[in-house]
Amino acid sequence: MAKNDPLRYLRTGTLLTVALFTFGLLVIGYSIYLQRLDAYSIFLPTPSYFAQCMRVPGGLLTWCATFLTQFFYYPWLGAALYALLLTALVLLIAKAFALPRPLFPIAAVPPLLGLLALLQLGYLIFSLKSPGIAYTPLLGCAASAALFWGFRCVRNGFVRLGLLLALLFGGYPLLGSYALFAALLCLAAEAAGCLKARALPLSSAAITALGSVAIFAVPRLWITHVGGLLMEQLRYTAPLPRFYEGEGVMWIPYLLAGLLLLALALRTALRGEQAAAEPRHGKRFAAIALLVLLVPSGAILFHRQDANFRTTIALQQALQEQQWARATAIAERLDEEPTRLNVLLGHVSLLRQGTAAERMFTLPNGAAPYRTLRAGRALADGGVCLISYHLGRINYAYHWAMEYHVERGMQVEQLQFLAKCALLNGEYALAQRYLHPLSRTLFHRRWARRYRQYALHPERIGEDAELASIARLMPDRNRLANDCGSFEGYLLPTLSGTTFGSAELLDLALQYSLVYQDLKAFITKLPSYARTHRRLPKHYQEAVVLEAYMNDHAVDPAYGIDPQVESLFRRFLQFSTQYINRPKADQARLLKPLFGKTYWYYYSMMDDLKVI
Amino acid sequence: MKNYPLLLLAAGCWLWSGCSAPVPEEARPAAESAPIYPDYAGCTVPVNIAPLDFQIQTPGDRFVSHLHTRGKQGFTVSGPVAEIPPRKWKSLLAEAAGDSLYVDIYVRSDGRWRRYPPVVCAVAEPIDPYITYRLIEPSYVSYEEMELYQRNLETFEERMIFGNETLTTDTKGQCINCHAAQDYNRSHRSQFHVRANCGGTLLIEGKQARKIDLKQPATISAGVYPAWHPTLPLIVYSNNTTDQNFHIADRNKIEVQDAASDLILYDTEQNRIEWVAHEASELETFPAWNHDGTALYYVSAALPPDLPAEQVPEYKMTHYRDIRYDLYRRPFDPESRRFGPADTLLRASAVGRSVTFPRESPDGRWLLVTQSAYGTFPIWHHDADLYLLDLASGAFRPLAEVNSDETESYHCWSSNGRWILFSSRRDDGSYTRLYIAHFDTNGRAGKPFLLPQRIPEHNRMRFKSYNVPEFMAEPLSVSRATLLKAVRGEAAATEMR
Repeated sequence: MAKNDPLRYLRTGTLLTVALFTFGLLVIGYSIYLQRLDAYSIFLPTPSYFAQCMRVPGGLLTWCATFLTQFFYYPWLGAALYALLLTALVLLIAKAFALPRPLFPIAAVPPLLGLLALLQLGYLIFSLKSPGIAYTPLLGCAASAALFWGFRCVRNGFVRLGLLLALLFGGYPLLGSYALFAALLCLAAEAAGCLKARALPLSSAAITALGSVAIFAVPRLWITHVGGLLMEQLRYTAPLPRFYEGEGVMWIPYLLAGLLLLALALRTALRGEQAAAEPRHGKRFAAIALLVLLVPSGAILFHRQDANFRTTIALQQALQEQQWARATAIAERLDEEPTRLNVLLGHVSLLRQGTAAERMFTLPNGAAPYRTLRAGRALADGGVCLISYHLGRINYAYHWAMEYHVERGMQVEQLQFLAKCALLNGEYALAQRYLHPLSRTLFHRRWARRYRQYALHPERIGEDAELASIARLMPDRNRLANDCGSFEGYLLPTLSGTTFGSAELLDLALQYSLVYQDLKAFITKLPSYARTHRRLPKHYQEAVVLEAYMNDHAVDPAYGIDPQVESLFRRFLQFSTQYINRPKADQARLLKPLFGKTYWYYYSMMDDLKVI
Repeated sequence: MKNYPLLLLAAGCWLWSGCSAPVPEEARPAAESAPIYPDYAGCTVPVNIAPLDFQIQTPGDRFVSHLHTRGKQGFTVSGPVAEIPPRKWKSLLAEAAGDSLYVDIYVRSDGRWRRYPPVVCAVAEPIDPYITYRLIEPSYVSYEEMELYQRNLETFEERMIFGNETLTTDTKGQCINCHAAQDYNRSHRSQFHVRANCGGTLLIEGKQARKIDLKQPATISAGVYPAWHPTLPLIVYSNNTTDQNFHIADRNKIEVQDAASDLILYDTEQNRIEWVAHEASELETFPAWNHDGTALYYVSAALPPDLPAEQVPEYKMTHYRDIRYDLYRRPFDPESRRFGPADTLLRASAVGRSVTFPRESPDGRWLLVTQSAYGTFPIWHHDADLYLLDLASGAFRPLAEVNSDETESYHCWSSNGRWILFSSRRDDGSYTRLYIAHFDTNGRAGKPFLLPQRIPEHNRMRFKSYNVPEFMAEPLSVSRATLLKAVRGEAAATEMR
């Protein structure tokens, strides 16, 4: 190799760039995303967990992938492992497909497409029924490449046939569709080899014929005779992610990676083992390879998860870590119309800080659409459990945590909610059931140990600030209810209509009467609040003034309304009258700078929010 | 390389010592028993039960469990989890039949051995070798994975009969439930339901299976809770319009309720349905034949007679505590296949209680029911307990020997009448587990024990409830492929008389 050969550092350079790019990107841009991936996953070092994984073809990949996912608990560690594995995969692909040095950058394309596939999920991480989604594409790709490499290293045709059948029959249960894909690569290479040699040896004919049949037959045999947990419609795709109809766009990275690997397999076979590895037209090929590499890299670099989604996961993480002030700051920072999910999560952050009645209408408000293919599920999957838990609706939170548990299997975060709900409900043995698997995890065992103390010593629950404050919000009178599929449609009237309970619960009920824009319910409950508080919070004062104006009576002096509030309200009326003939959107725009953080603005300008 | 045989020998010795260790010679006796999980102490167990593996829940660094019969040597197992070798267990139980087996537990801590008082289990009559059940989360609305299983009680083999996953699609779910066999499957006839995608009722006869549609224009639903006649090709089903609502602040989280329910009789040979009970203001459900098929038990709750149908949903929400079920019996003539008039056996509602799941013992002497404060779905009621009715004397009592502070619900009798299998939420109040209790000829039950598992921790790590357990004397012989084909196929229409 000449010292001045510009391709000299191409391999090392590609590997280093890919590793640093992946690590840097994940740590800087996606730390919280990685932590959420850990929260929506679990790995247990138990035989029963392994057996559970193995009930679906590709279970071994799922098992390994969930093992690796747990390291996202520390984003830097998880990112480092991910980058390391991704880089190793680049090397493996280059070796398996005998890529010459100039084409080496091509080997980085499938792994980077895997990274793109992970980052593009967005809201889908809340609802995707695909454990280990972060790593299964990488591990599956590695397995397929390694199996293909092994296949092409075998010279004897009948040994290759045996290997192919073993790969299909033995590999399908372990690797699922990645074993089928590996077999497809082998078949393609075998067929291409025959084409090149213009000959069809018996062994190659047998490989092509039996392999083709087995690729279709093995998944069918599994369905008919094994079953396990495999859905028939997923027999050729498990453990690839379970995207629904209409989500075809999510398959693009997978398809591109698959097609590229297939092309590389054909190239290897058509050019012959030695020739395939020889550099030819080095610089031109290298330039093309680098250009190809730029496609996924650019797509990753310019891919932006939308601001609402990033806010949602940041709020979720902050609330789970009991970082209330941080959560409020995150909600405040959002500089576009928030989704209902973010509005509700923002309210929870203020509620936990005890400042909701002072600040809840100062946070961004709205009902922006969810930019996801599963928009209808975003609120339910991303926040119902967390929100209802913090609002003291413990049975409802447990209900939703159980729904997730049923639909998506065991996950760290749902187990945490189930355990906390059980503790608050006085179901200590049940809490222990949920804490037990958490105590077997690598990074959540400390959490489990802490809450186990409460299960063993319920008298200590009061020492936990979060549990104690939520216990005070729990309703003390029971009745039957049904949300009929509408979370806010159920929550708002339920909380607004609450007229008895602890002082904290009544305070919450007052806040939700304001959110529900039910001033009558608000003013009915207010006297009992005023009796125990020397000063009304800002939004309550605003509501008192508004109610008095609307019902044409004087403000009760007992409420001690701040003169500044009354003065600002007069200005609000003045401006509102001034703009009364303008379209509502104009009115909202004009009033927002002065009054956007008042209850009056919310009441008059946001009275048509579409709650779900 | 030369050391390989030696290493193998050492490994063999180590493995052997892991399974069997000598009884410590110098051990101080402990005053109290060592807690074990599951708690088998004082239970009566069947002579053919699978090894009762257990965890020793007392701290220590070495553990030895010595299993033996009265005056016999027995064998030892070491480790905090006693994994009992099946063959040795089988011969030990055979030796102990009609008597007791003893487990002496030795724990070493701080370099000193302690010997705990023995765990003693009486060994009694054999139990039916198979049970079936469904595994499902204690779920609310969603369902994802649910499977019907056949468990061999003599071993740990758990074979899936059918799971709903295969034919579930992204847009069409599938629910499976209520596996029930005729005469403990000695006639090799059984059935289960498939709902939603590919819905219908699967009738299994030997190695064959066919799917039928039990919904008729005149009935409010397809067949729901089944009761096979012990000898004739007849099944009584309830028809139910069921929904559920949720408690906002109560440990009973879910209320499953019927808005309407009736009873029908299905003749599997004639493929014909006829009414058994069809009163608009009565909620008849949970049919069960008596031991010889000459009477049918069922429970029913009365709705207010003048309540319009459209007000029933609201009534259920507000008066759910007032809906209580009484126990009825109707004579049946197997020759003419006609039912006689209903006889009230237990008016539980009169004392503010509700009874469900009547099951008569194989000798016809006893009737076991579940009783709770109200409602039809006791698995969600923490106060639900098993009650025993002496059909000879009319005495009715709680089966206190097996009840706990938590829910006891679905139950059945073994074919020899000496064992009862029931579901209970005593472990944690939410996840249903199966318990087995001995039942003697005087109507007294023994201390129940948890369905044995190869790895005791499995009970804690399995996040599913055991649902509708039933004994079977014979295993199912139908293959998965046959069931799959039948479920995929069209459901044959039935006739209504």
